Amino acid sequence: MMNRLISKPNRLTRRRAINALLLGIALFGIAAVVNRFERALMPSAFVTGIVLWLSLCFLAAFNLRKKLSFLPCLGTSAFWMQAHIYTGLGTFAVFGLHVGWRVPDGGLERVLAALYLCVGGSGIYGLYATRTIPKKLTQLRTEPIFESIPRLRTHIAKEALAIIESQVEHNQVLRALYYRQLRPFFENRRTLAYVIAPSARQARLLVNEIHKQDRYLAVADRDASKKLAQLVRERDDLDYHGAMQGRLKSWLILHVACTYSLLIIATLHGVMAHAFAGGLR
Amino acid sequence: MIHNLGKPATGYYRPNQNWQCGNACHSCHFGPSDKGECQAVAECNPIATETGWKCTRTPLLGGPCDDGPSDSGVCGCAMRHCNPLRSLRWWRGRLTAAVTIATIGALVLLFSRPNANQFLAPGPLSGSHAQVLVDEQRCAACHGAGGTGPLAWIADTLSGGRAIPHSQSDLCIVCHKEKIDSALATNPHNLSFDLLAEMTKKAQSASPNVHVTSGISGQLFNSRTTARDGHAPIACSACHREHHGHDNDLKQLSDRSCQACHRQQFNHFASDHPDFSNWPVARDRSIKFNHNSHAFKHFIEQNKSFDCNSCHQRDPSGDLQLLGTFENTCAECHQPSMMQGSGGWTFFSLPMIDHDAIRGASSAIGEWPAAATGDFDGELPEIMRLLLAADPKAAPALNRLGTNFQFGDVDPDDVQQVRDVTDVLWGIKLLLWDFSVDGKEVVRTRLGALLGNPVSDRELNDLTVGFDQMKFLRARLNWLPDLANEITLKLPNHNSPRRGSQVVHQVVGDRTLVVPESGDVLARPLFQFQDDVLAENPLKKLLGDRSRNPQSAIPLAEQTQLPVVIDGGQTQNAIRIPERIDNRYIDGSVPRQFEFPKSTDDELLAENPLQVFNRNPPRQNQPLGPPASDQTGIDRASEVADPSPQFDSTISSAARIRELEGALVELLRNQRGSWYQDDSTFSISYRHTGHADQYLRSWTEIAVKARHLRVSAADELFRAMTSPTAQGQCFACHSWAGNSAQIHWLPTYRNPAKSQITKFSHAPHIIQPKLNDCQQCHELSGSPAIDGIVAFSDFKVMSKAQCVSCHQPGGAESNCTTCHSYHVHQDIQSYLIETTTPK
Repeated sequence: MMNRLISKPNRLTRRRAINALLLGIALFGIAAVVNRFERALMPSAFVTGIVLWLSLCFLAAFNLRKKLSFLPCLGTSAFWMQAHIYTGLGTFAVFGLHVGWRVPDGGLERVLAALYLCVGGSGIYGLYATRTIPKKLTQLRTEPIFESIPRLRTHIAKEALAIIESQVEHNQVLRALYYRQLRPFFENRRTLAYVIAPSARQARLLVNEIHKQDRYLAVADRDASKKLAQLVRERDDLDYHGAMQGRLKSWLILHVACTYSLLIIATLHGVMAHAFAGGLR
Repeated sequence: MIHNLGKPATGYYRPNQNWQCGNACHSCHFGPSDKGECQAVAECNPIATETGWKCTRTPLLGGPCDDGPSDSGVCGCAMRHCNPLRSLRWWRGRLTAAVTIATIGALVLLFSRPNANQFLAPGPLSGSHAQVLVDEQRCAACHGAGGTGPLAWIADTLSGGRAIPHSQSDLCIVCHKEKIDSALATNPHNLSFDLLAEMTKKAQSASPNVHVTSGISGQLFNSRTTARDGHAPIACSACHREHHGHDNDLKQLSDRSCQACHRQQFNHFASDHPDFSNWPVARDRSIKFNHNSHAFKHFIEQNKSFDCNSCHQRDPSGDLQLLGTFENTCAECHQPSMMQGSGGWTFFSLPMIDHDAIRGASSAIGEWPAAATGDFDGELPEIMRLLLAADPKAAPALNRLGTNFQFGDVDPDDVQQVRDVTDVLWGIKLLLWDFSVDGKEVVRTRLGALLGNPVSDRELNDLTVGFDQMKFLRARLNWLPDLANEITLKLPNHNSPRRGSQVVHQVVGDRTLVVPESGDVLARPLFQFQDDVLAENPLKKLLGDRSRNPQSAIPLAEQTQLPVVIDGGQTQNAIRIPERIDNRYIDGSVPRQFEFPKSTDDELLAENPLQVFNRNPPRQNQPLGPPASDQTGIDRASEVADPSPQFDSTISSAARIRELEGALVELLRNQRGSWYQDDSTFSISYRHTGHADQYLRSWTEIAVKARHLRVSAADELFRAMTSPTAQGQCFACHSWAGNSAQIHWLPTYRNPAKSQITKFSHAPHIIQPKLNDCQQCHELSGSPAIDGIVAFSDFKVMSKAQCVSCHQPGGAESNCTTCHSYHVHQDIQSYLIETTTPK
């Protein structure tokens, strides 16, 4: 990282460095204010709470920005995305300062903290997923759209069936293999375990099983065997795409679904904290 | 590859819309409508040309089809109809809405429940505030918002905290007002800023090694060098953070909390805290005991070991080391010396006067004892001088003569001085007259006038312990028998202090007495012996004093009755002067009396010298007490009808009485705690009982009080009481608060009920056997340290190193609050309490 920064920083590296620097400065300023408040026996939680609430509002406004894309004065979506990412990262530090780096004691506060961690945690995962999964997917042989994957699965299953029914009509070995092992693979969806932790193990086993049958096949039928093995690989790639792209989309469901609840309870918490604040006023 | 299979990989997908094509094999490029209706009809919309209908299928679908449109213009590639599906985005939106609605519903449900505060509270209360839980309005007990609703909360938030009246600190004081002054509750240390400034100034001057930056003069705090302005009020919640669970210690504060205000920043006690410059010796001590001289001289001379525990005892809590009583600790050595040379403290006396000088100054003094004439001589007793200062004629004369005036200093040739002396002499005669008529009330009247505030009954009793009015009456009649007529002639309008009425003349025998028109003592018939009086042995009191428990030596209700004969041979009346002897401390305890050695006078005392005059012999086991007539109004003489009177008329009563009276006076003169009249020196004196004598104590307090009130007439009394040769030598050991008239008669200790800024408890320290030796920490300085009236310790200043040996990282606690308290009481004097070690 340092070498990249020192030697020849590219645009992405420069952007990350600048954003991280700005975030660091902002956090340092907040920490300084908090420290000043704590030293003065003044409740710093109000400072961090207000900063946190405003940050949440800003982060939630990113969704509004996408709905108001026709307004040029709002800035580019990429800018908002960067601001969303770094502001969201910064809220973790502010949240830690706010709760004193401990588990809150109150019921409402715990719900609020849990919601924040859900939203923030899903955002962190989303940031990780969007930075790592596409790289893995581009290394595959196909790049299907997530919504087209079911249809492509159907298409592959039909292709496999066509091969069995047309080219190896008289080869009982391949037919038996297809109906015993390949057809469930092509026609069924993958298990939840595969969605959570995708693995090519099943595909490799099937391909090996297909290749084992080659000794019993005529030379002409071996071509069909190769096509079936290819379809198995393509189906596995497709399933991998489905699982990975599902990850890319599923974190956002949790991220967005909890956002508004977080804002509502955070607002309630802020109002109550001000109304019930101990102090001299 | 899929696309290598000759099949299109994708159709026209609309992930951002609510509906997607439901075709399982191929997505049409039209897609569902916004309402979720399938819009697929044909792959193209043929257009009419001159040659017929032309296929317009998009190249994405393979371009124009081979068959082309029909003749009627219908696309030949009809599309399969589908049931559109909800998109993932739609489901996400619905989930978001559902979660949001569920959240709002849960909150509404929550607020509708009566015990919602348990969930809404930021945490359980600490055990110290558990009693709040029994209150229905739990939150309202500590929060002003607790008694309002959500709308008020919002209004309060939007208005910056002005919608809800009571602050939390106000509500804290509602319960804690007993310990914290509500007016000073939010001040630093609950002290006024003036007092803080004074303490800071004192701390700075006493601790030169504490580097305090120069700031606003007189302030402890400075916002420039600390995080907090010293004048800013501090909310209770600034340090006491609630809602952190039952086991949360509200009183546990971090060092950082202290350093929010204090200029000098300490990271750790062992490394940063300044060494003790005056702990624990800066405090004024009530008892000026010189440990060094006792340890290194007196105890060695007495061949005794200097053991701290022989005088100091641990209090039940173990916090304090209490000082033993005088009787248990000091009396053995100091009581005899205290009694030596105490021939009595002259209360009243007639000086020697020079009649020629007085006549030469064209003045007259009237009757004066012949034995007290010649040259001016004699001293003016301090108390008498003070009482004369209330005489309107004697006071200016005394002022002109000077505060340390003595009669021996009078120049007979100085006319003015002699005239002033004459005024003083008349004042003395008037004082004697008043004492003989009004008794101790004279003290009340004159002192009240001098001090500007009335003398209470208790004070009067203390100031006149054992006062014997009969002695003054007898002195008057013996020394100045014609005083009544002189007073009548010279001061016809003189009213005795207690009686506002005019006096009248009563001729008894060859004397003309002055008695009031109405009164309780002298209005009674004079010179009449009563049998029950004669039956009472006046010496029995002395005998009883020796035999009884010292603490009950002089019962409160006991009345002393002494027959006084003022007329030669005429034995008519007896005068009963009730004498109340109140020799108690303010707290009700009775000081122990010094026990005199037994003498062979017991037999003499047991014999009633007055029995010879008694016509009715005393009944056996007759209790002491006032005559029955005093209680029932019935003369006892009429009850006791003795047919055989024992009165021996053959004895010369006057001669016998004078003889016995002389013996009686001699005996009384040696009695402690009594008054005696000396006809040879024309004086009436009080002989104190030794330590804690109530009479000395009271007049000492008057001397200090008068000095505090700047009554110059009491200067001589003050000088006498504070001199090394003073009666009782009270100030040899006792001190008084310099800024008040309070004398420390008892040892003072820290008041555990009212915390100080610095606190210390011996209890956890003396657990170690090694520290049972007090000198492990309290090392004697080795040199005397008595400094005038205010005494300072004669111990070496303790070093911080003594504490650091245990109070260090990894050892005992060394937080600021280990040794310092935040909440202290405004009344600094209340830090100290006076008490004695339980006997």
